[in-house]
Amino acid sequence: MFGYYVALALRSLRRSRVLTALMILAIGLGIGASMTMLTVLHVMSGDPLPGRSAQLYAPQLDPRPLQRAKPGQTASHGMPEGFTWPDAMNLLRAHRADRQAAMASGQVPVRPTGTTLHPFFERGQYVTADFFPMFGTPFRAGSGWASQEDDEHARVVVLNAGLARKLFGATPAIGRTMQLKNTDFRVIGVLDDWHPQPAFYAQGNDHAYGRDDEFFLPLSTALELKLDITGNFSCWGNGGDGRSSDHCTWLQFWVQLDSSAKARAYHDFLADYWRDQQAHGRFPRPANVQLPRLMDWLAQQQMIPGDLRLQLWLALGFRGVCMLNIVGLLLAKFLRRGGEVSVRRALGARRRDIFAQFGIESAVICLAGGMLGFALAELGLWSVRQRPDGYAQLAHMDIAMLLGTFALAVGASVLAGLLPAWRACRIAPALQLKTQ
Amino acid sequence: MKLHPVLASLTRHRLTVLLLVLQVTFTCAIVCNVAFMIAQRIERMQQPSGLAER
Repeated sequence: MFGYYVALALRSLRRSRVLTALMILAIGLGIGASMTMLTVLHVMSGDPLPGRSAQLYAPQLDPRPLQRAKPGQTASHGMPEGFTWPDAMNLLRAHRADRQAAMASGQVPVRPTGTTLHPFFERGQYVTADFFPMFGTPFRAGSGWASQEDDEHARVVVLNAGLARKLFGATPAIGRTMQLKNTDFRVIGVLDDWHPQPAFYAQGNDHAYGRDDEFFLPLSTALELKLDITGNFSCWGNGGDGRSSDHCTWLQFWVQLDSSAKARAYHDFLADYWRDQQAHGRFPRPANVQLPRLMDWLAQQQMIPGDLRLQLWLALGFRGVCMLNIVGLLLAKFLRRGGEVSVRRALGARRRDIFAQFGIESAVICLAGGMLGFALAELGLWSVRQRPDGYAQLAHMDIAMLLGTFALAVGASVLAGLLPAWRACRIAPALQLKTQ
Repeated sequence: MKLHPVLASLTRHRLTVLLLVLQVTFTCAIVCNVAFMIAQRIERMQQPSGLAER
């Protein structure tokens, strides 16, 4: 019976080609637009470190004075975006988490030696030793450094694969020397193209998408050499604006806590630290420690641009209009065939047979529309990738997203086809046949 | 012009009328919103920068 209905549907569709083409086009456009935007949002709200993110926490302290009315300098959730140098070092030395690291973003001139390349600026991170094991960075060769080298302000650097290739070509980079802003650094590790998206470890803003950090060197070394940092550097009071001042927030701090019991213990430790600092005349605000997990922290930072959300809603609205159109067109098409329905009913077809026949016909149209929609979505994603925004390069469809959205889209379209089919199967055959 | 037959035919096909009204409503809402947003963007893009750009 199913095969017969499909054959009937194809025959009926062939009879009115223009109408069929219009319906398929409408479904295709609706599905294509919404799938494009859903995919973009899906890749942007993905987990940057799958498997590890549940154990990573971003502690938040607030060392600022009570009066601070200047808007725009705090994150949206009311906490400062960073740590001061003394606080980060205290937490680092306390060593109360399984792993902990402080970090800051920077940009330094690279002077290639022995090649014809001109000097160029490169972005990277100044980090402490635990950064590499904590985030599970994949090493192509070599390794990170130990905390001893942090204390010694060692001139060592870990490169990402892109910069290593640019500087040293195919030859192994380990043990080679490179010059960063007048200082020689020894390459001790090469990462395997590590680009988590978003780059959560840097300050949370919309630059976090598509950013590629090409080198990692010890934070203490960067401080000693006064290498340039990028990102927010916010100071208050009259304590000067030196980097090691306790009046300036500019560092990021991440900890790894392997169980929720440890997370609670660390939360208490932070609250104790806050009160301890209050005893020393710092941290005038009431203790309000935050310890969000990585994914919660990303949600707090609201990294997904508002424009994108708006575009998603517009695309979904457009899809809704397309669906309404389909319902209208199918209704017109089915009701026009009242004669055919009546004859089949008179010959013994039950209502549910008629319903199945028309349901299958609308499903065939929706499937064809879904295929077209998928092609249009790929086209849409390609056009998104041409945009200059950092997140644009991420816009690729993965299998789960593909199947999920496709099923959702076709399912919704089939549902839209049910109303016309239901209406058609309620045609009174006697009345129709009499008027013919 | 007599309106009565038109209205009478509208009340006969309630589902179709409802569908058409919904379509027009949603299309109008979306198109108007997008048009205003585009107009706002263009306005913002054409703000004088204060520099002799050309």
